[in-house]
Amino acid sequence: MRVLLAIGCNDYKEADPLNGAELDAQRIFDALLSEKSSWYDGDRSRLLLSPTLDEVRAVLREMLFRGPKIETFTFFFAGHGGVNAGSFYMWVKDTMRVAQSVSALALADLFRGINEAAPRQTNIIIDACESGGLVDDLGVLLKPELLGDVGTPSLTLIATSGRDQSAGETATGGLGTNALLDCIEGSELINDTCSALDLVDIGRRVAAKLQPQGQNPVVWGLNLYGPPSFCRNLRFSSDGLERMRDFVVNWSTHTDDLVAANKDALWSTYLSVSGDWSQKQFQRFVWSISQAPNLPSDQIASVIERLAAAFLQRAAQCEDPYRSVLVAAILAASLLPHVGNPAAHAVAERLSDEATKALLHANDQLISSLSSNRFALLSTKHGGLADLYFLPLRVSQVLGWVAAGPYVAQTEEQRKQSVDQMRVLLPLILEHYEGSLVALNDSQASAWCICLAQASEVGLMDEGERLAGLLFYSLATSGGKVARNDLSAEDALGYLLAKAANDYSEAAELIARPMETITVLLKAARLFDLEEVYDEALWRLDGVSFSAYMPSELAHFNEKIMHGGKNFIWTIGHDVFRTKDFVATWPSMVPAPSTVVSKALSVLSALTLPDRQPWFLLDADSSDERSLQGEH
Amino acid sequence: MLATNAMNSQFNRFDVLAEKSAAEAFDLALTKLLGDTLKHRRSQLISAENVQRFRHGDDWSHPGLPNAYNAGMQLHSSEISIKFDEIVNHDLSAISRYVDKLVEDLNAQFQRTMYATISAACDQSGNLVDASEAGGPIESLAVMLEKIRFTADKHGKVQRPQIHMSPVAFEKFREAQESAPPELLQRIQQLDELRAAEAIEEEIQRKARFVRYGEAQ
Repeated sequence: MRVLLAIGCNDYKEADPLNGAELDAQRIFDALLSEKSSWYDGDRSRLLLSPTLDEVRAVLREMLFRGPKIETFTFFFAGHGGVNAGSFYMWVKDTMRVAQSVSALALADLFRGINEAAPRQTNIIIDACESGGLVDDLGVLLKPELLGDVGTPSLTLIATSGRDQSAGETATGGLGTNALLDCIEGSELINDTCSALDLVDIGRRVAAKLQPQGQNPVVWGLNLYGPPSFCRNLRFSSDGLERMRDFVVNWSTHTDDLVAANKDALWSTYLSVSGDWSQKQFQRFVWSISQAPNLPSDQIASVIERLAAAFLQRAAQCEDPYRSVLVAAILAASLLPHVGNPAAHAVAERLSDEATKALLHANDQLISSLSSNRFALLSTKHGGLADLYFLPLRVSQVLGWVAAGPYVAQTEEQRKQSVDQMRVLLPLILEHYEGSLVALNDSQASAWCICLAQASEVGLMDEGERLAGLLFYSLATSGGKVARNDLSAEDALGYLLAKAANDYSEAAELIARPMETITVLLKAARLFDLEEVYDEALWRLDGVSFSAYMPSELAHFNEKIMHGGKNFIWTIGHDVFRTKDFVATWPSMVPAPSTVVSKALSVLSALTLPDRQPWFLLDADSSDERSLQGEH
Repeated sequence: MLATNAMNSQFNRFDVLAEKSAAEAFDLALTKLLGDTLKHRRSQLISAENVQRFRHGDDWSHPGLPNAYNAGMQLHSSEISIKFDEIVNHDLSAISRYVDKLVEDLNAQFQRTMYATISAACDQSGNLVDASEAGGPIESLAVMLEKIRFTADKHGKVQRPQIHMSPVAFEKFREAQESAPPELLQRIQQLDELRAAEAIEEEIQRKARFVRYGEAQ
């Protein structure tokens, strides 16, 4: 059973009256219980207009604890709000300004009631009118522990604030409520693939719509138990996606178990995504979901998609625009083993689309930033000498991501935009960061691989040649002494000191052996006719071993450790004296993606995991791949 | 102490693909390198056993030794700027410039403080020897040995004073030593033996102030 409580409070004994709060509550109530899309139980749902606190409590008591157990509980409040002693209060008719704790509805009390009634999903929408910076306060006040231990990953909250009444209200109601209703009533497309919508999905859209108006709504929480259930999706189309609809209807309780088992990690990861985070920890967390045993691929995909909705909303609050890219990429790439399943394939396609959108946005931001400040890639907060190590890694990552755009793009329009960005950013990086284009760590190899392949594909031949030349030069001058791809940040200084002194005798453990950076450069040599140039300097790398790992199939390409497959090893001065010696012995068993989506996910895996290369991009037979790209 | 990248706020800047914990780990390694290098330099002047660490306050006193000289705490600091261009151009020599500059600055300040403290302590105690008045560097050594006391550790090992001098002064001292009359050198030898014996006796007396010293036989 789904139940809605909508409260709108215009009249106050100790506060200025409002004009639109009752109307907003009425409109939400009508939309969610309309004949066209009735999604909530009409008998048990209630609309309260300017109620007293006792009336609200009586209705809550009746609604939450009498009658059949509630599956979905949705609470809407429009009215004044207040913060006192670290608590958020919703003001009702008889609220006393000096006694909010006993005369207003405390959010913490509401949480406690919900926690006790334990509906499977809870949606809370607060439109705190004329509340100044109150919504910002609410963002700070909201903590997982506020909810207690039970069922925390089953709640979503959206809070909007009409700070400036004249700007925040239209003739038809509050901006926040209007944006919400657009989504509920289907005039704003969220998706057309699920029969029901999640409040997190709607929250992301509402936030995107309100931000240009100067409002920054709080969208908080995870809602991972059960299928999406905030409202009926009026844009749902069953065309060709029957399986998706089936799994929504037949939601397995196993996914709830999976969510419950990862509850603590869910919250800590969710909270870290918008600030200081560890990409490795995020990756480990996503693996724990995507590699859950005994769950079919379609259900794993649905949990990953739900996670993406919540985590991308959170990541959008991070000042680094590439955070959203990484979040979407890691989540999308985790579906690589599941894309044989049509429902999982559809989710992977949508997440690749999300990753591309985030990437296009981040690249735009970076172009703008680099154009106004050539030092834009230096760290503002944690730079200094540390950037001698991290800047070259950052520069290669940026090039890898920029070049990945056209491979990951899901539409021709996206591909075109990505290529345009590549044409701007690669020359810009070469102009401003030539000195930082060095092979420093073997984890950079995949970025070089993707960037050189893409440069060749889009005809940036001079730029590609210059990049490959700079990297080979840096390798030759260090004698092929590149740091191992799992070098800890603590050991980075030791490696830099050895490199500066050109004495690696005390740093043998820090060096990649064999390395894949040389393999990438030698393999890419033919793209830019650099074979003879490389051959001239190959003696400088005498004795250096290099390798290529070929997985048995790309379905394993996102696994932490890939089993099977084969490591191919060469050594300069033993079996390779010229580039052609290497080319002649390049293996024929290079697995290639069979679909656009698996190609996108493989590229995303290579960029998010630092120890694997998408060799198919550089392979001699890549014309097949390029035709695949042309299928967009 | 570590240099930070204080960017000009006129630009709309945001950090891209940066991980705070990794940069902090790097900075920690750099701070350790600085600390180890400074410790090594300091150990050439003062043994690690004589280094004392205080976390709080800005002064100390010896309530049981009211006449002990107290120079208080001195702040040593150094500053270095690293150009953005050095980082962008991957100029790894910036690391040694940074470390060397900070170590040299801090070590020089430490030396100055140490010698100033010794000088002030000598002024207070009157333990001053004028080499020209004494008649030369070897003569002044003899006068110095007459004024000072040696110490012995609790194992009875005599700790002789350290002599710090500049390379030029050391050369003069060596030459003077070669040409010093044998009776002067013999006097110095006798003074050394006397002071050593006094130090051992003083240590015995010091231990005697305990109720008991050492495990019961």
